[in-house]
Amino acid sequence: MHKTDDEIFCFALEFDSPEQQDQSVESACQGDTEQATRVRKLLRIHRRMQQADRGDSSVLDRAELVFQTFASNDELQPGARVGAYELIEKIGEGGVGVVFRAEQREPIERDVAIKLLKPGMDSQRILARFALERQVLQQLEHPGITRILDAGVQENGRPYFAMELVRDATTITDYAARFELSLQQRIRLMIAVCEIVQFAHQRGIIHRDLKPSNILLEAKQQDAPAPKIIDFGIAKLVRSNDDESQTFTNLGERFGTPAYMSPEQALNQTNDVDIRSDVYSLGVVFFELLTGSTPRSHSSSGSLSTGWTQKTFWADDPRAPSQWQPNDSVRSVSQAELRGELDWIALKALARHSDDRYQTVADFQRDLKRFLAGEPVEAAGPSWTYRVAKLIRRNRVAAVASSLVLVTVVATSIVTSWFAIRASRAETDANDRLEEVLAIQQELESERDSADQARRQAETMLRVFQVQTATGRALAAHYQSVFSNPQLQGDPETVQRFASELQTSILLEPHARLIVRGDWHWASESFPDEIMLDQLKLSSNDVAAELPIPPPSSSSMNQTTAGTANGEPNEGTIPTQTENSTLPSFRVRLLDELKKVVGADDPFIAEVLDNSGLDAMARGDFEEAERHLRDASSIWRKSDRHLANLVQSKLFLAEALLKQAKLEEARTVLQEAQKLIGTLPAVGRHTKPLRAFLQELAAG
Amino acid sequence: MPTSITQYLEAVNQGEAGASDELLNVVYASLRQIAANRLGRDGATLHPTELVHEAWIRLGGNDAVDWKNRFHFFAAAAEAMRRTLIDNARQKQAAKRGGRSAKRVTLSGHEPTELPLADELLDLDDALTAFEKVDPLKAQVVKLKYFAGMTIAEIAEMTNLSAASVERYWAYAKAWLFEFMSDED
Repeated sequence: MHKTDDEIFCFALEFDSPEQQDQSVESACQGDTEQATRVRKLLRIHRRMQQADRGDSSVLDRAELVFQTFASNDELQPGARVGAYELIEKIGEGGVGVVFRAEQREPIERDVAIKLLKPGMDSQRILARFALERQVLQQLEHPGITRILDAGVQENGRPYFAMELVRDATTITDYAARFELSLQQRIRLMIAVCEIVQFAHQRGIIHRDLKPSNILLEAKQQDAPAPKIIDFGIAKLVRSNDDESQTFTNLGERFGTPAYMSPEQALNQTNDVDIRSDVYSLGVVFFELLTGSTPRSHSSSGSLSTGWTQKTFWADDPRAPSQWQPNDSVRSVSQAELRGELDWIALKALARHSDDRYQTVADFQRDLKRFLAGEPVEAAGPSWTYRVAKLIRRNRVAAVASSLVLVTVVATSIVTSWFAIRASRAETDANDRLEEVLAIQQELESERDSADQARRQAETMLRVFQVQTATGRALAAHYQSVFSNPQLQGDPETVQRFASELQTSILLEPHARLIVRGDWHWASESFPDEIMLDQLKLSSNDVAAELPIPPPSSSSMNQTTAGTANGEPNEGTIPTQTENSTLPSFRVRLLDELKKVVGADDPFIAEVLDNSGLDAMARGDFEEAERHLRDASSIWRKSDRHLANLVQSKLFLAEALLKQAKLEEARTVLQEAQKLIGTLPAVGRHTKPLRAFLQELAAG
Repeated sequence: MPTSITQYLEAVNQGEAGASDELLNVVYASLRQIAANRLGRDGATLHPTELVHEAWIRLGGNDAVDWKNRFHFFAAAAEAMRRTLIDNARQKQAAKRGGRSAKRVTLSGHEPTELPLADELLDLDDALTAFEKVDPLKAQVVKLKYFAGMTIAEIAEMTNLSAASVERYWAYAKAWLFEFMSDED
């Protein structure tokens, strides 16, 4: 009976050795040499296949790889046409699809990027969404955003998008690594990226898939690198609808890229996805720019590729950037600088709960800017000591002096404004002031409902410490001069008087709320009028209170400028100056130091000069007053926003001139003031009292 | 019009006209859908077994389905996979100017990570088509093993053969196909 090839082959496999197998074939073929040769050859092939490195010897042993090609997206090759576009070259491939550079011929000739979505995407739904979103997306006009130009369906039913093309693009992380950007350069790059994302957020568009491959830069080095963000709006268009998302959950399918995805996205809490999810993703990008790794790439609670859809995976906070082993891509980043503020900033952006993150990309960006400027960052949280430390570090020179007298200085360095003098009812105890400052600090923090508030808070605290620094320096110098004076040395009375003089210096602000000021302008914009009035204990129907000018009677002038609005004597009046007072020299020093710290042209200095002028007039030193008030005017004049202040200074100046009987000069100054008042709004907070004062002066 | 996979399978079992094609279409569509979704995952590797089993479950298949009908399904799935792969390979090749490049059949010519060349796949398909004419049963084993990712044991169970036989059939088929591919020209 004649046997078939396969029967002979299979029978021969019963034997182990090649010789036995061949022998078995010989006997089975019964002299059919052709068949025997055929089967022996097959056996030989079989044996070689077995010997060859199992698993990858031929296409037949590489089934899995074959399947990968099956599913790959590069069915379309350069030259193929998609809608009105001709594909030129493949430039990228991602989770959603493959991207080609393509040429559009009609209606205009241009190069575009064509994103071909993967098979299985629901074309109809995507196109319907695009029709809805088209308006919004096309309004997203920003040099840092590549817009979606068009959407369509390929012949095989897959959707595609035509987008603006970024030529020679490289990802933000590759860019940073290639050009070995420094830490500062990386942060600046991140600030630019935040700017773009914030722009889109303000127009109601969340990216949902921010990651380095969507943040591109021109591959050559630029002086001012201009990042471009691609795929804005795509995520929303290709997202699965709610019915499907359940199915996808089962399959472990999510849109997006796990490493850059916020917990709320990964855990499919779709209702919780908002701009703060983008904050998180930017946090990851930032983290990667600092460390070269993504924050959860080495998690103890499971690997990123399998665990990220599980709640437990997100249970722990990521390690801080400074705790990571930096890789080659961040060689140019000084790792020592990450500890502290940059750690805080990164971890705040990466907070698991969106409520704990920066609430907007702008907040994140602001902290990055603060870091670059050496200012306290918001991420640090409301820690008084941190802010003190930070500010003192900024003023290293002053720190030595001010640390001696830190507490005293906080209490006494409060510089007045003219309005505050008017409002003063009683001298506040130094300790009370300190308490008030702290209370305001807390209040400001609890009011942190807006980013602007946070900025103001930072500015406020900066100002407080600038004043403190200056005061500390002035005090140190003052102590030195006083106690090196042999005449004063060892005189307990002098020391006593010295302390009390400082405590009650006219330069000290009686009301804590306005310490934040230094300039009235800021305070009036920061707080609604009614709060202001309340804080200043001014009654709105008290006409006298609206007249922010101390009655220029010589008696009150000699007594104090801190008289009450209704002219009654104040309990906490400043003591009349005694002979041998050290106060004048202290004031000069303090003013000098303040100028050094905040800048000689700062409006704050102008306010201090106004106050000093008033103070001098109160002491009867009209020459000195004139000098201060002229200086103040020249500062106010530099800005259009301070017209009212300028008028005020001029009116004071006119008064000082009148007291010196410099009538011509006084007239000129008054005329100038009058002209300026004409340019002020007729009904303004400042205008009315200023007019009243002008009339009073003119009458006098 | 059948509404569940069981009905499709039963129709094939009854030898209804066009039933095989209908089944094939349904399975084909399902596999493509699954393959596409699967790719969305980070670092997903696509294994034919997973694909086919997932299609089976998605289409409503379960343990209660008769083994004969189950065989119809897996046979259809294997064929659907084969067609998809071949179509894919043809498209790639068409895109390359000059059609098929020089023949390359080696035992260890590629790095393990390298994707099989479209040419190689098309050669395999040619060989398999020839083999089907000579030995439909063993060709079926190849398709189930290769395109549906089934194990020897699974195939044995489904085809009612012994595992040893399936193993030998697989060995024979591989040698035959390889020889065919090497000899051609």
